[in-house]
Amino acid sequence: MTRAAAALLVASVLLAGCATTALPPVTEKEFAFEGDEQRLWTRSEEVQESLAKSGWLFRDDPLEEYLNGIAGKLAPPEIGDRIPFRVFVIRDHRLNAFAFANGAVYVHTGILARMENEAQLAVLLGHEMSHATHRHAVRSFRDMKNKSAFLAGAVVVAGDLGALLGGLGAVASAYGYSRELETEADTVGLSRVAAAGYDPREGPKLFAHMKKYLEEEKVREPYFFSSHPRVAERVAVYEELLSGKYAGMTGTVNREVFLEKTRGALLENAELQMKAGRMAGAKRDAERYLERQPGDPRGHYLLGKILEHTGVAGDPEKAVEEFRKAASLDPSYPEPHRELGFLFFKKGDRTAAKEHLERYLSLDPEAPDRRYMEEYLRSLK
Amino acid sequence: MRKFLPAVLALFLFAGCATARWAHAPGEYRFEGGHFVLSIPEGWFVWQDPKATRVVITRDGLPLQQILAGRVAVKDSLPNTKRKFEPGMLPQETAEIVADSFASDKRLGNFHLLENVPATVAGQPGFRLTFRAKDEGGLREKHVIYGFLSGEWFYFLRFTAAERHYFDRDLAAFEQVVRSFRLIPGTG
Repeated sequence: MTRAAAALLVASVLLAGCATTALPPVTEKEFAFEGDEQRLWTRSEEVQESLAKSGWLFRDDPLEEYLNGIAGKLAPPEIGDRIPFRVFVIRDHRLNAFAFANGAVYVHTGILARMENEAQLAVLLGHEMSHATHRHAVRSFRDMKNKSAFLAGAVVVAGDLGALLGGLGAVASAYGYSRELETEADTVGLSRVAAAGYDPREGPKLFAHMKKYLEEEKVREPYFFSSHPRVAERVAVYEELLSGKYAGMTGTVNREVFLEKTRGALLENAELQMKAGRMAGAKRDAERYLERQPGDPRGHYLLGKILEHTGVAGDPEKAVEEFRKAASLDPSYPEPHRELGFLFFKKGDRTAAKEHLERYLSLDPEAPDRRYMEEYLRSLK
Repeated sequence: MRKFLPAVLALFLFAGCATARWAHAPGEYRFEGGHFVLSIPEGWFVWQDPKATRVVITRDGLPLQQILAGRVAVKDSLPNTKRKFEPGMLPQETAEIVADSFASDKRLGNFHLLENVPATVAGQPGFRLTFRAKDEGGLREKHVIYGFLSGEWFYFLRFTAAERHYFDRDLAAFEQVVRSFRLIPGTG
């Protein structure tokens, strides 16, 4: 190979790799979506469709309306209709939220259950929306493509590009961006939170929840932060902003409306945690739910189920109390009777077991676990 | 080198004979790794792998239908849940843990429990769970799981098939496998 040909090859590789990652945010006047970015949007829509059919979305119209209302307050006016933000809730106990390039934002029930007020929620949504307005998905994609092209000495062809866009678009959205882009999202997001009238001092408190979660889970880093700056570093970014640009600033927190709108998600998260065997977290969520809704038999029933399995001395006795409360709040509710019947059956209290098992079957003749109860009743005769 | 070539080739070929493969092996199949025996239906294939931790059987390919049989130590958790079995647990309790494990599996969508009934497997009191879910690609599947506790182990047999056509067609073959299942005495 001649020197000229070699130089041309190297130049081609470098030029092919050097798609710019310096893109103006969509709020700028001289803005236009680019080809690879449009393909990312298409891929985002495909993933969204899969999520919508997966059964993992938490459907609660008043909650979705509430979340989208907050997103509307945070979206800068210059956005116009360039990015139609929509917020959805995913049934997942892990603390996570992510946004696709096309403005679809997903928030886990786990993180909703941990937050205390609307201002903390606004910090989270502001951050995620900034990933979309500042085009972090396509910038990350180009950054990876640049590095791949340079290192491998190859140009990504069209077929690979489609697959890579899909894979990277989803992964980066869900698993996080680089330190630089996350810091940008923190900074831009907080400016929108403050502009919308929320108290920016709630920002670091969001990360206090993350830190506690990490300690409980005994993990070095949750996947939300897998390629992010660590929690402490994120807190440092917010504290620097609060001591500088936002020093002395206050704002609304809207605790009560937040607690009311998110209570369904809290109960859902308690059940998810219970099924995943995370009894301490499930108990916390169920108790917090009952603080807001003390008259809800479902909350008492769920707390009873959780207390049965915490392994803490005294909790099984408390479980009986919770099942009794659920049954007295709603005499037509079958499940508390099933649990009471089963508990008494295991204890050897034949009379109480028979009473509750028969009550369960009379309230739910089509119960899917009917045959167990019938076996227990036969053995009690 | 030439005089060693036959030996080298022989080594290569014999090394290949120890690798995993699908085998058409109808009839009694003894799985030492799980300390049980079961009967493989005619026309079905079993994955033969010396390192296997469970028996895997299919007729038309794993995405269409599969039967798994194996065991989990009581001290270990099932995937996707930290809930654990305890020796002496009633079948209804073990069924609940298994159902929770699948309900918590993010690879399954639209989990819906259809049936949870007591059942006897290998002469032991156990359960039979039936549920419906979608796999990661959106394919609708139905699952049937039999399970029971014996000593320090939880034994299971699981049938998964595409809900359309394959589940109803092949369920009888799975039930035949379940009826044939027995523990190897004096082991495990």
